[in-house]
Amino acid sequence: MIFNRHVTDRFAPYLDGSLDSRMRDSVEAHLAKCAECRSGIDQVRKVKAALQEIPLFEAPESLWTAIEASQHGIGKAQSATFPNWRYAVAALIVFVALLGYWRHSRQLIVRWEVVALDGLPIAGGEPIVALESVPTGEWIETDARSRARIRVGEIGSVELEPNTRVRLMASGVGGHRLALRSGGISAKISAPPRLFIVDAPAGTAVDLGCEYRIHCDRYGTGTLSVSQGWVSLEWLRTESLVPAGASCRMRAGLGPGTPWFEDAPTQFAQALERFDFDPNSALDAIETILTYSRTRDTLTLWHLLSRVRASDRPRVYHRIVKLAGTPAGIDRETILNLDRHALARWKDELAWTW
Amino acid sequence: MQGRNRLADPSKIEMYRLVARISFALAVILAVARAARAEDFAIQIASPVAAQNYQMKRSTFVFRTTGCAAAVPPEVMATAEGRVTGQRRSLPLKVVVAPATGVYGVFREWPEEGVWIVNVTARCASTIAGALVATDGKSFIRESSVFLTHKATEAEIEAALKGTPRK
Repeated sequence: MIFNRHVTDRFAPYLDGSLDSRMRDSVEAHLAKCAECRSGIDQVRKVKAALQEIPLFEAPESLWTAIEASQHGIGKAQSATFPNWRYAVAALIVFVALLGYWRHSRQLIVRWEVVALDGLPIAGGEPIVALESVPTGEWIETDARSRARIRVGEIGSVELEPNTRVRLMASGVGGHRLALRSGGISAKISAPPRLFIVDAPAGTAVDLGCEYRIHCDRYGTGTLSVSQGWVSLEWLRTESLVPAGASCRMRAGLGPGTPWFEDAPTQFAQALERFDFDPNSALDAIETILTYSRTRDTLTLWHLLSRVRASDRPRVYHRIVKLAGTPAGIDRETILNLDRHALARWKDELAWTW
Repeated sequence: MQGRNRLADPSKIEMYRLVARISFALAVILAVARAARAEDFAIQIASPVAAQNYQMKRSTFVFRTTGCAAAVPPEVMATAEGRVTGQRRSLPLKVVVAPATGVYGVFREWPEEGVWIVNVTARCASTIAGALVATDGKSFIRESSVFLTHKATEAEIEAALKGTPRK
């Protein structure tokens, strides 16, 4: 019955790592079941991270002299409602907080831990021998014989494959952002959605709590493959939701294609590539996609609902219904009109067949 | 003679027949309703992505129940049933409740060696549903999983273990 009691009083020692293993297990078990406490501990974690980023400064000698002088004069100033030294301390606190906020917002102090796994990766033009602390804004590069690992705050890590070029864009309580110029990276992230983002030339991969690999050439042509959780691959007004076991291609200037499960029939995968990136054969491709689709390929068909011409939409809809049915409350017209809520609800239901 | 006369009374015989017919019809309706209810209450399994929550992503599979109209949520439990170097083993599993209502996750708590399935049992009021979920090294195997309208028997578990592909 431990789950009936919230564990708010143990957030701080849990995050500090000062709980014994039994108590830590108990807190983790509770967090796994209690959304309210998870939200609470996330907030405490963010505040803790923000406080850690505020720098400490030595107070100037003149300030202490002034405070001491004020204290000596307290007896004379008994009638005052608010002593002067308190103003000084308050001003000091405000000053330090503002300075910390300014430095944080400028990201001058944010650094990333980068480890060389093989060879000599380069960070900011200098080779990484073992572990380096690299400031935001720098590039990390690997050649044909080197690999590196970047620590992403407290939420995970990213491995750079050989011949990869990545820029450290932003890191803080609001999230972490990398830019992949070319090559391949594998990310392992364990965090609530949208805290880790990778900008590739033909799509932005937004982590929805997952593990994935993304690779591309310098023009942006590449693929995203997800092994756990979900990734949202976004480009202008296009969004491809890619779950574990699925991939999504990207093309320079065209953005992401439609996600598909990697075990799909070859004819299906080839037709999908034609549909996504060859406008001349898109019509023929639809027929092949529908013919070869299996139940779990409703992932692809669901995305196609909003990507095919309006005249083709009913065929896609009926194929999904034939493969997986429709849940109560979802009707043909709302789907064909691309009602966002109905589509989202249908996607969540279809996910039970993937 | 009097008793025979009473039985021979045509109006009473007709009444008995009517009562018998009504009773039979009620029994049929109750049986059908019970069967229909039992069919409705079922376990549905899926890949962890169906839970729509990052904390479930490392689970072997997630499941939910359908067709439970009871006021209280169904009770669920799971055990890992395996055969390791010829010996049968059974391990109780922790069923993790996902933030989404009525979704549960099963995480791997059984050893790597041997063949293992997960025996899931759910109870809604007096109705029971079961599932024997086949697993491989990383995930569950939907095609080899079995869904039941009762708690799995030892014979069904044995059969499921034999039907589970080896890694």
